[in-house]
This record gives sequence, C-alpha cells and structure tokens, in this order.
Amino acid sequence: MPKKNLNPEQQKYQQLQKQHELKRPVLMNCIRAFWVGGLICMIGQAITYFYIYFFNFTEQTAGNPTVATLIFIVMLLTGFGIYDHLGQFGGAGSAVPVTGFGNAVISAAIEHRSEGYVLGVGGNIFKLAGSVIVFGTFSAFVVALIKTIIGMIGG
Amino acid sequence: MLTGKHTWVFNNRPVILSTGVTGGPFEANGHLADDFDILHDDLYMGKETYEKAHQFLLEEAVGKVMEKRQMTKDDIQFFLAGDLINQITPSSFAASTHGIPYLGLFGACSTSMEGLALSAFIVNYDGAEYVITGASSHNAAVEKQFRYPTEYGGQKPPTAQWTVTGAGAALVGKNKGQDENHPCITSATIGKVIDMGLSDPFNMGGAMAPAAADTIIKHLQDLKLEPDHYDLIVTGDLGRIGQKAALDYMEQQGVKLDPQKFRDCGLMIYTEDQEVFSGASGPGCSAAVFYGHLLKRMKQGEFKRILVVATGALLSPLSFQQGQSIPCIAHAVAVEYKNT
Amino acid sequence: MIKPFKKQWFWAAFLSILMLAGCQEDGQKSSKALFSRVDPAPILISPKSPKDQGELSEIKKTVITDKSTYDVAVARKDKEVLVSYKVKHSKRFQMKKIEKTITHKLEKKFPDYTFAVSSDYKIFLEIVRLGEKLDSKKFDKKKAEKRFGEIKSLKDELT
Repeated sequence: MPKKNLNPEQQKYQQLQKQHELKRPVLMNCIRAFWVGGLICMIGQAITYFYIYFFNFTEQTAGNPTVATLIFIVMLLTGFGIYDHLGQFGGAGSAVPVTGFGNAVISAAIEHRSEGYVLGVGGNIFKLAGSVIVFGTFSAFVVALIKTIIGMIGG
Repeated sequence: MLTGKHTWVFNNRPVILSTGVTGGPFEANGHLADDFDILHDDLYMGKETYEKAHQFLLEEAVGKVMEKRQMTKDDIQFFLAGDLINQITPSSFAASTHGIPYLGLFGACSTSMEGLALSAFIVNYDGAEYVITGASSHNAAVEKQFRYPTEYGGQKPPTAQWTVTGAGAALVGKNKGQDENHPCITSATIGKVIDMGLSDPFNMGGAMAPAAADTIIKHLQDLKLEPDHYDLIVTGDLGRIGQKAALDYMEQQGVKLDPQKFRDCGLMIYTEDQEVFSGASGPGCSAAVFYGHLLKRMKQGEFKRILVVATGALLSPLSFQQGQSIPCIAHAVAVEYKNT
Repeated sequence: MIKPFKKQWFWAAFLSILMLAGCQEDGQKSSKALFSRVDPAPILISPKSPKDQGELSEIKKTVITDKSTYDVAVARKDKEVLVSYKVKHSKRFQMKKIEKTITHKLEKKFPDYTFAVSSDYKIFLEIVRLGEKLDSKKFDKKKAEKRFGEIKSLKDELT
C-alpha cells in the first residue's frame, strides 16, 4: 500500500487516535490459535487413525480421505453458522488448517448463491481462496525450479 | 436561512410527525428492542436474499410512518432515502414499491441526517408539505459488499464495528402550530469531507471522529452557541474509539464537551455481552436509535434539545483495496421538543 | 455472520469428541497399537523351527536397539521378512533416513533374507492383527500367507 504523505494536522490526529485505538490482543490470540489449531489437527489425526484402523489405508494414503472428511465437516459447520464464531475465537488457528481453506470456499459459495449458479457460485467460489491457489501453485513452481537448478548444478 | 457559514436555521420549524423503526434479530436482543416498531427474528425476513430483506426493512419503516398518521402515499410529496449497498438499490426499490417521488442519497452512515436536513429544508421553504426521509442498513448485505462473506471465519480486530440491521424513517411536515406535541427541527449543519489519512477499514470510528468534531464545532460557531445549549449531543456511529478520539480532538480545538452529554448511537443499541467489538455502525444505526429511542425519550421530557451528528465513512471496497484513505463526513441536525 | 450463539453447543460438541476418543478400550493389542507401545511377539509363518524363531527375534532386536525406534513388529514367511517399527516423535523428520539405515543394517546382518521395512502405522497394525489371528487360530497357514502377501503389497504401494 502506498504510504501517503500526511500533513501535520493528519499526523497530529493520527497520534491522538492511536491512544484510543484498541489493540489486537496478540498474545491471547496466539494462545487461542494454538489451542484451536491444535484441536483441529487432533481431530484430523483421529480421523486418520480411524481410516487406518477400519479401512485399508496406509499412513500416506489416509491423508486424502482425512482432508475430504474435514472439509465435509467444515462445510456443515459453515452452513450452520458455527465456523465464523470459531474463526473469531481461534483466528489463525482455524484459518491455517485445511478447514480454513474449506471455509473460505464454502462461505463464498453460500454468499453468492443469490446471484445464480454460473455468475454467482461459479464466479465467486474462489473469491477468497483463489489467491491461496494462485500463490500456492506459483510458489511451488518457484521452489521446484530452484530445487531442479540446484540439483543440476550440484550434480 | 443560512446562518454562519454552513448552517441552516429553519424559522418555520418543521416537525417530525411520526417515525417508523424496524430491526433484525440482533437488534431484538439489544438494549433498545422496545423502541422498534417491527422486529424480525430472521435476517432473511422471509425474502430470498439479504438485499431484498434490506429493501423490505425500509419499506416497512416507511409503511409504519404513514400508518401512524393514517396517510397514504398520495399525501406525501417526496421520499428521501439512502443506504450503503451498490447504487443504493434497496432504497430505490423501496421507493418504487411505495411510489412516492424519490431522491436517492448517499452519505454512507450519515445518510440519516443528510436526509433529515434536506427534508426539513424542503418543508421549511414550502417545497412540500410532507416529506418522508429514511435510512437503512442490513448487516449481512453490507458485510457481503464491504468485507468477507458472512460465514467466513475471519478474525475481526477489536476496532471493528457491527453494522446494524435496521431502518428508520420519519415524516417531516409543516409546522401548523404543532410545537407542543412534536419534536421540531430547528437547524442543520452540513459537514465537509475530512480525510485524516486513516486507511484501516476495520477502524471506521477513529477515521470518522474528526468529521464529527468538525461539524459540531462548526455548528456551535455558526449559531454562536455553547455546547451546553444542548441537553445531548449524539453522534451516529463513532463507537468506543471514535467517541473518545472525537472528545479529545474537540478539546484540542478548544471546545470542551461534557462526556455525560456526548453520547453515541452505536454504543446505545447493543448490550455489553453482544459481540459487537467497538460498537454499532451503519445508516440504520443512527436512524433507528434517533427516530426510535431518542425521540421517545424527548417526548418523555428527558431531553429538550438534542443535536444529532450522523457520521459517514465514504469509502468503497475498491477505494480501500487500492490503498486510498477513508474520507469521512458528518451532518448535524438540531431537534427541539417543547414541553409544557 | 456472527450472531448470538449458544455456548452450550460448542461444549456439547467438544465433550462428545472427547468421549468418542475415550471409547477405545478392549484387551487386544491391535486396538491399542496406534496409540501406545504394544511390543508384539515376532510372527513366524513358515518354516517353524526353534532356530528360525531365534533368528527372527534377533532381527527384531536389531531394529529395536536402533535409538530412533520404540516399537517393532516383524513377520516372516520363508525368506521374506516384514519389518515395521514406530519412530520416536522427535525423530519423525528423519523417517526416510532411518528406514534406509535400518534396511541397510538388516541386509548386512542377515544376508539370506529379503526385507520389507516400513514405519507405516498401517503395516504395523496389520502385522499385530496377523499375529493375533494366528494366535487365536482364526487363520491357518494358508490364510496367513495370503495376508502376509497383502501386507507386503501395502508396503510396495508406498512411495
């Protein structure tokens, strides 16, 4: 974001405003994020064990059905209006795991249902998650490129 | 009559003849539930979309206004309204439903007082006999446009504010010696756009405070009044941060207000245990609180003169994403109620 | 949208998760194999002689003495040996390396056998289950051999 030149009056007011501005409770948010994120991962681990134990999945292959299950659960939680409370409470703890990604996709789909399936749901479903996909893919590409080049140089 | 630089004094003293206030489920759990005419327990209000529900809120409020005076749309000359949604469609659609000649306004959250000031002006100078003015907002529709999808689990900072789901409308009419029974509009000050360079859309109160302060100071200067002329100076939706910042800012400018007499609509409507962060906001906030709650208290004789300063943040989702700061505005309307 | 939300529901959901997680108790080793150390006995499907049994125990000992593992299951059919172990949590980042060194160690020490080494919980669990089925006589030799092949193919599927 471009840093604007502020005139003295603006600077003065911003200082005044700063005194009253409520700070984000960063430490508390971290602790909450730790617990909420941890809890979500614990549930994920339980689901993985469930698939290993009752179905013919190995530790590696159990990952896919686990993610699918978690996203399904999040879909329900989002639809019933619970996940946004969890998000407000847990912050990054609920946004970083795959559940946060699912929530971003599903909430956008619900929100834009009113504009129809093609232009509404189809056009907006990746409104929030789209940038995750774009930059995720792109950074994966860059990392792979670097690894390949190092591999070629290093023999 | 223009007095001072930017203030109108209404010598014919237009009166607020009736009001209609509607709200949503969250407001029904708030402090002021009793002051709403109609409360809905569902955000959709039986409509397919939030936008239609938004429109319905305003329609109902206007309907209530006319019903209370046993008037029909043919008795009303003009309808002035606005809201926050793209091209103020909810207000325009509501105007189409009622079929009253319509002027659409956009002043973000200051629309309520912008509309009241203009209505009073029109009525005062014989432009009309009866004008209805209204402002509305719908939490989910506004969130959708300005922030994230409603069900998205993003964390809001404590500086954020909660958009009111509600609408307030008022019927402004010529004063035919009705001073005794109705609140009358004595003056209004039109504010200028003030930009203090703040650009955090999650801290509107802080951005709007100087606009409110500026308008209040100008109003007092133009009319050569002392702050204690008013029993209450009430701002639209400054929230916790904005209210304190506005008080401090005015003190810096040499105007000292009594914190007891300086209230904020955004801090009145909800209870402490409702998760609204810094307070309420939205055009519906000042409209619903003033037309519903404050006028009622005036009628009960609690206040004789109040100054309502509705503040608006004139940003769009595009402007803040492009890194522009938030320009803000405030309009003040003074209302008097003569008790016998 | 953040609307008034009953906290009881959150706690109800939380408690039911805890209770579901707690409902995992019975006497069999396989039911605990994913969570705790069970130390299963080596499984010898064929040939059954005391000497082979001893050698199998030796294989198990070799793996368990590696300082990065804490629980080992082995099964043997003829010259094929399935080895599965659990890696200590602090060492889980080096899983691939550990697998390599253990395979190397085993192949050097017991050159007559072919080893299938894996740290996968699923393979561990299945070896424990195979042992239990053999013990309770649910499996005869033929069935056990078939299951052995199946477990081995699980390992081969892993990349």
